[in-house]
Amino acid sequence: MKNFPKQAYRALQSIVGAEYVSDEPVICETYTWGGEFVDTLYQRGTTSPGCVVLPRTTIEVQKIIKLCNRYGIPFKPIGSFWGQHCAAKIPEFLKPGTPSFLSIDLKRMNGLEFDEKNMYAIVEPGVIYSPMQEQAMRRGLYTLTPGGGSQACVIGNHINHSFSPLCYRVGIPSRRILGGEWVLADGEILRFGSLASQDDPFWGEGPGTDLRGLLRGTVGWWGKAGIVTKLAVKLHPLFKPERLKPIGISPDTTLEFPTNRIRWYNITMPSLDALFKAMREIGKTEIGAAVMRVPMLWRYRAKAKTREHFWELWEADAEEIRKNPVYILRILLIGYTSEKQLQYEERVLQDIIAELGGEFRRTRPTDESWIKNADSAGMWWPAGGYVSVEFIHDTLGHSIARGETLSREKETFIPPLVDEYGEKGWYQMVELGHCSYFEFLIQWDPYHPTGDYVSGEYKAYEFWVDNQRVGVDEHQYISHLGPMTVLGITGAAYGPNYYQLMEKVRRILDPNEVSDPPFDMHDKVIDKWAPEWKKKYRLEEYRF
Amino acid sequence: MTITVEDYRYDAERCIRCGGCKWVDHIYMTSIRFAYKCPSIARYLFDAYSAYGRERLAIMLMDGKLDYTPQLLDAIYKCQLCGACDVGCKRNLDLEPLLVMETLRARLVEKGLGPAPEQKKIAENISNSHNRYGSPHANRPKWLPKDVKPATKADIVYFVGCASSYAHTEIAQATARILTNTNTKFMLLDSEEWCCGYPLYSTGQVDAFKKQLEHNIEAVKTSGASTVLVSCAEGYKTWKVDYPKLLGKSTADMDFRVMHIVEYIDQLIQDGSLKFDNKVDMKVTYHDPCNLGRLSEPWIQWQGERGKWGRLEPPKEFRRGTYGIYDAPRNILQAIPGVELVEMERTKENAWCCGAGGGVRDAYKDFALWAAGERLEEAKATSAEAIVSACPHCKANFQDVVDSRQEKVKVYDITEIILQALSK
Repeated sequence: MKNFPKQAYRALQSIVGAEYVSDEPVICETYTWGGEFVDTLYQRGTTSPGCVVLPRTTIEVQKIIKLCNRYGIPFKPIGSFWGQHCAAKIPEFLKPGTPSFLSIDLKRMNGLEFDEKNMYAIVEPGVIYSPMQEQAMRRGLYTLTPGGGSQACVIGNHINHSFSPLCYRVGIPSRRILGGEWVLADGEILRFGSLASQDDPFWGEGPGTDLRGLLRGTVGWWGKAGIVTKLAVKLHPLFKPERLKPIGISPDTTLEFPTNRIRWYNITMPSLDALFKAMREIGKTEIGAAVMRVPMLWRYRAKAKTREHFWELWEADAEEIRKNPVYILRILLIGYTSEKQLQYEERVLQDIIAELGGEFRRTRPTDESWIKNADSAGMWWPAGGYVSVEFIHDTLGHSIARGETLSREKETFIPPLVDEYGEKGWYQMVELGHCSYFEFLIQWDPYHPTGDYVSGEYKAYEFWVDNQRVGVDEHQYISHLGPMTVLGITGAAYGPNYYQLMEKVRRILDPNEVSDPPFDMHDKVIDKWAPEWKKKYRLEEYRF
Repeated sequence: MTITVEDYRYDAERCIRCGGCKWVDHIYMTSIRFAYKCPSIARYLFDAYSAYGRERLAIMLMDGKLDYTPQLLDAIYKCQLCGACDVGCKRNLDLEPLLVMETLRARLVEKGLGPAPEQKKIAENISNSHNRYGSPHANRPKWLPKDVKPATKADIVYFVGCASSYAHTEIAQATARILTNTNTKFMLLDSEEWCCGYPLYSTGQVDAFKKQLEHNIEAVKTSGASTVLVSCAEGYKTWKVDYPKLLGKSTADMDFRVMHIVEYIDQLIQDGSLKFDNKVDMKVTYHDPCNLGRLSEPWIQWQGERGKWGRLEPPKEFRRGTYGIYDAPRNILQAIPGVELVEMERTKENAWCCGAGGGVRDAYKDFALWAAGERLEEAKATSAEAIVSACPHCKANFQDVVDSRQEKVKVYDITEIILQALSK
């Protein structure tokens, strides 16, 4: 039986209307799942919320959060429920007597406005990328479609991740966050950026300290400090408003490119070194809209029609991929200002590639990803289990080193991890080559090898945890301070322990620990569910 | 052949909650207003009213961790089984969310909780008088105009269906006249035609459905016809997909071919044997019935095992909605002089359901009409004068909303437009 205060339930009904509150087990049960991290370590022992509420306005959100503070009810905000880490927290880690938590489902908050002249959109937390991108393009503007896919909520994704190959041109996410409205964990409404002093959210900084750092997701607390109810996000000029034509029938749908203005290039490079050099050179010339290198597995994924077809192709080429890996550089050029711009950039690209011995391959004149769609859901397709164990932005040199390490370490976890035959990872240039983005993805069969449901999953996360330690050994910075890291133990090894700093700030912002608690649970979770890891990987030796 | 929710446990467990089941394909999504393709989540908002929510409920029921309650019935049955979730999921994954939901309904019936009382009443009607309305069985052939003379024996048997036989006789009449006008020899099953069983299968009443299936198949066999022609999308999908599914066969292995009237007419247009003489000056938009569009791909029987990496042995061919009947009705409308076809935002595999299917119009009429109203708003945004569909249930649902709101938009079944273009 859930422990959700009856008075609080009635108060919620009066705040949003009875139709938008439910404590029915059938309703609450469906808010238990944690998206991509189903049955991970953190999901063990999870429970469903005691109540679900669907607010429509910022004032309603404020009242709900104040109510949570009054009754000590932990709350969990939900945008699209995609990529919700630990949607239901482990109750045994909460203080004794803590009420069942409240899921605050924000899907009714789906306002979207544009300021075309100043090139930004104002979004509410229920808005996902697809309609925003479409409407932006109709205004001659665009943003990226992130790695999380078009189904990710714009606000949650901007403060959490929002990386995509298009970051090469549109920049890292924190630079795209402008003014916003944030209901803090204690229920106070904070307007930041220019929205603090006027109604126009065109600017993100100030007044005074830039508060956007407190929103941080990837390098931070995954947004566990209240609810951002309105955010202005920067858009970028594309070219004259003309709809990119959607074509095809599911599952093969795509956007047809006007190839006089927008083109993908696939280029085979003679070596990984040559590929990285090309990425740097392209950045120096400041051409392009995206510069990336995709793991081989994704090429096979794109070719295959079914999972079985994928494995047939993948296993048939195993030896060849390991012996003679193909290094494919993928470039997107956009003639933002004119056809001539595209022609010029293509000539520059050809010069760079010719100098480095690359060879242009055939490519489709369509949006296979990133403009309107990203097939992020397809990452689960080959084996049923997937996670990105690492995503960092740093120098390309660091990304290369980290890729080498992870690739080497992964070998001892195969199986149950899918063998990618020495794959080093996903690399892309960011901000015209001034830094890079790196992601290391692993896949596994959650049922493998014994049919035990979590065995594969468990091993996958062991790999993840182990590599935090290896990063310290090899002096590699790890920016992914997410729920499954052990930076509570190893974080200080990287210097100023921002993990602890962020936690201190959170406690100031959330004095009653109701906003998506608990955060500081790395030690506790490992002690409870995988104590052997501490010994096996000598994690205590890394505690500073 | 009995399929149970346990057969689809993997599919429910491997849902990654990407929302592909509720959003319009992102490539085609244009606005927040029409971003959802699942009427259930759009209307009821809580995640229990989505495919991913129902898959979670299925797991909890299988594990005995959730009670069978009226709220559960509400969440499971307030869904048109329109299949929008299924094609959305299968854009990226090889899973079967629709089959999870179909079998979940069967489980609720087994447990004595489902279906809803109104749906039970329809089952009673079908059992007593072989039609969903409870009208006398003897009245079934009354729709037939005196000047239309079906053959006593023909390769094509027109399976009229309950809706067109009793409630929307204009569709049956138009279909029969079209066949006559195009010199197509066809026969009827007359009193041997029973309800196809869609209201039973779609609400989980599998045993009762099997009786309909067995009778109708036997009737067609006895008739000697090789093609079952229908003008109802629900009937089409039932004959083409659900009959073989419940018999444990592929559609291709059935003894007859199933054809919707739009396929037949399109075929005549394509081979040059039909040209429309009459001008029909009208700006129309076409509504894809779920059961003629994304759900109409042939059933491909599969039996095997799941192995390492979740691979299926032998490999399974998934029905992803790619080969639904999307072009035929559009070809027909575009071939009619004077007709201007304009498209709504959500079309083909992304079409929004009219709201009538899955037993919803019978048990939750307010929800059915709400869904139809949403579609009419979308249709009106195209500035079309009329919304045209190819199923009597779509027509009925749209017409009810048009009447109640006193809307100016007209509602037609495609057979009525075809007949106008053909008639002298």
